[in-house]
Amino acid sequence: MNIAAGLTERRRPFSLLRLTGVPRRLLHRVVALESALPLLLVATVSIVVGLLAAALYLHSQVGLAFSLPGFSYWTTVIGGLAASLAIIAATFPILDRITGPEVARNE
Amino acid sequence: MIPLGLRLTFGSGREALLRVLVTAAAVALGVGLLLAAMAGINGLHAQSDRGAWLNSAVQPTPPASPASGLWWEPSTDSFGGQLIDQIDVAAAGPDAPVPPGMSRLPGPDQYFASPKLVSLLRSQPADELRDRYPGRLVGTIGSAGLPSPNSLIIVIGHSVGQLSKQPAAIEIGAIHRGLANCYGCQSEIGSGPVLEFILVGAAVALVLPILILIATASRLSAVRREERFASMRLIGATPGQISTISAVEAVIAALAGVVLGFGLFFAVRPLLYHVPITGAPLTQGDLALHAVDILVAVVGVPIAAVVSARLALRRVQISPLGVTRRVRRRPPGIARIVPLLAGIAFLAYFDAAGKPGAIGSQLLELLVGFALLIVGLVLAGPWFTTAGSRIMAKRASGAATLIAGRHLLDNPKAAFRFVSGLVIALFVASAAIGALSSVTQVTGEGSTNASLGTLVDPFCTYSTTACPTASVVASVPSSVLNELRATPGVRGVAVVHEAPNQTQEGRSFGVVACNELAKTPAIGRCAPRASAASVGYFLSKILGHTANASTTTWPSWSLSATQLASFPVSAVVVATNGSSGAVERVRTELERAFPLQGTPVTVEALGPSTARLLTMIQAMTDVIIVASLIMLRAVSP
Repeated sequence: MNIAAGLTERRRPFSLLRLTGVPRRLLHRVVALESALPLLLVATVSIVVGLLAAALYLHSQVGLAFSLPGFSYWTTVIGGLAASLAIIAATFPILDRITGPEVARNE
Repeated sequence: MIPLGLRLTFGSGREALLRVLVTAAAVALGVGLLLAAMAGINGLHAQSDRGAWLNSAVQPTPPASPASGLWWEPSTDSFGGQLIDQIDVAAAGPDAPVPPGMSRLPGPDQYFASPKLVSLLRSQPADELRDRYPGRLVGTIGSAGLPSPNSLIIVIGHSVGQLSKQPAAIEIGAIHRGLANCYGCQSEIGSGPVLEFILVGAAVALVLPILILIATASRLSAVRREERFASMRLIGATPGQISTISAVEAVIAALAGVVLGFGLFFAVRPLLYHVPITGAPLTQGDLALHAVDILVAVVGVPIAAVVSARLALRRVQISPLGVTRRVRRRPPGIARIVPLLAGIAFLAYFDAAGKPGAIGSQLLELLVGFALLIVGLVLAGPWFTTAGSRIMAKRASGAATLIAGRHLLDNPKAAFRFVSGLVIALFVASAAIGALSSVTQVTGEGSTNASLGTLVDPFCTYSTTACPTASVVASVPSSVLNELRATPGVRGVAVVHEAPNQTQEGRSFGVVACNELAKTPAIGRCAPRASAASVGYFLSKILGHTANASTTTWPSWSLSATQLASFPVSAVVVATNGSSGAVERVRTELERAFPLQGTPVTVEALGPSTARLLTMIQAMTDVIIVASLIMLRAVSP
């Protein structure tokens, strides 16, 4: 949803790029990169910080050694991230549709 | 200005309408989740309030007059992995308090049971469950006394003379009716501080990402709107007028979202009753919303939307020209990661300094530490995005990486805003699941079949290390021992005697004859050629402490068989073949022989309150995994 909204905001620049002969696949890569980079980067940071906080908290409060969460946690996380990436990929057709040459017209 | 705002919202074409609809849908999802979270917390409270009467012996109210006393001995039994709350009662007079859900107190040889237990009593073989309870069933416990429809509870009547002699029985004057009456109840349905921790955790885990989701939703397509408002400013609109117009749009979207969210919540609520938040399903009606909850959703969400929209307008109001001419904003500085580091340092400090004593300051540590981390993550996000995209733009080898990197550098905040909800959801899920699964793993490992198939009936309460002399049994009748040995599936019986002047660091369990110990290997073994051994505390499998009794060779003790038989008995240990039928039959035998002295437990079983807490933690982990999955769905870009 957010990405689609973000795309409509940049119809013009993208259409101009297409007019100048940039292949569609390259535009796809631009969109994928700029959505996935913050997603994966910050997801990694928050997972590390989350597990670290849990480890520190457990150690100080309960006196327990920390062990990494099990299989279901990782499948959830990876599944969720994969689904997010799939959603990003799903916006490609929208990108193709909305960046026709007519958008770049200057009145 | 308001009519103009309305016109601009509804009348400026498909795009504007779509934006309102998308925002409303996102807010609806957020409100639906928020309501579900609040109802779940209410349900948790309702459930533990209904179970509070089971804790009446914790911080008991002394009876006002001799006629209003009630002898009360709680214990926790189990059947097939499920825990049964057993309360033995004896009314001291006609005015004795009656627990909720019951019409009267059971007399001697009578008992009340919960509906679920009644059906188990009828359907299971009598020698595995039914025979444990002397007397007859005189009624079922009504829903007012059941934390969950699945609760297994039995209230057994005795005569005062019989029950008052038991060291574990106490005389109480009132039944606890709510958590407030029994703050500090550690046992039973995870109440008191434990519940408080879980509620705070749940509130942070569920409500925070939802609030962020709502805030992000009301800022959808911020750039486009910014430009529009900047144009309005340039043609002469005052900042006040712009605020009104943007507020109108935000409120309309938020209100539509709230209405849809309530619809969503009520549509999904019947399914939520089956979610075992505490390990036991909720009763119909538990997921009610309080007036405060409704007020928060109906008033708070639109207000939050307006505030968020207003914050988004800051740039337009300060400098509309800057927006239209796309002046580059200052990149986020490294100072943004300070709160995040401070949060980690805060928790690390407590780790080094040791835990605070009072439960209040522990909660404070939890709250402050995690609030710092969450705020820190949201603040540091744009900086991480900038740093990452700077590296990407610098090393760009193709057009795609360069364009993407430059665009991210241009507005890292907006790029991060897309994923901020997800970040919080991931953080909370990682922290919660990381903590909870470590707890279950530490306590759940290392059980062998032999120890799960070996039952112990300690005549003291499970957690007492110093056994009161009144609770030991002078001797176990040979008829009981023969009957136990003859029970199908039993492999061996050992009697633990209470030896005089034990010096085994105060934790000794007693003395066992070596020929008996050889048949119950789960509790350890003798040194070669010894006649008797002093066994240590082999049951202590509590949080953070595991006993490896089965591999222990206990110190020898030279005693003859007759000497040993003259000592009183503190526990009976029975090894079975591990089949559930055999385990339950032995439980039944032991409870029939020693109705009021302790409850049989398997050697590696956890204490009942720990077991219950763990079930609850496991259920919470599952709920958090599912909730975070939904949340990831909802807040993913």
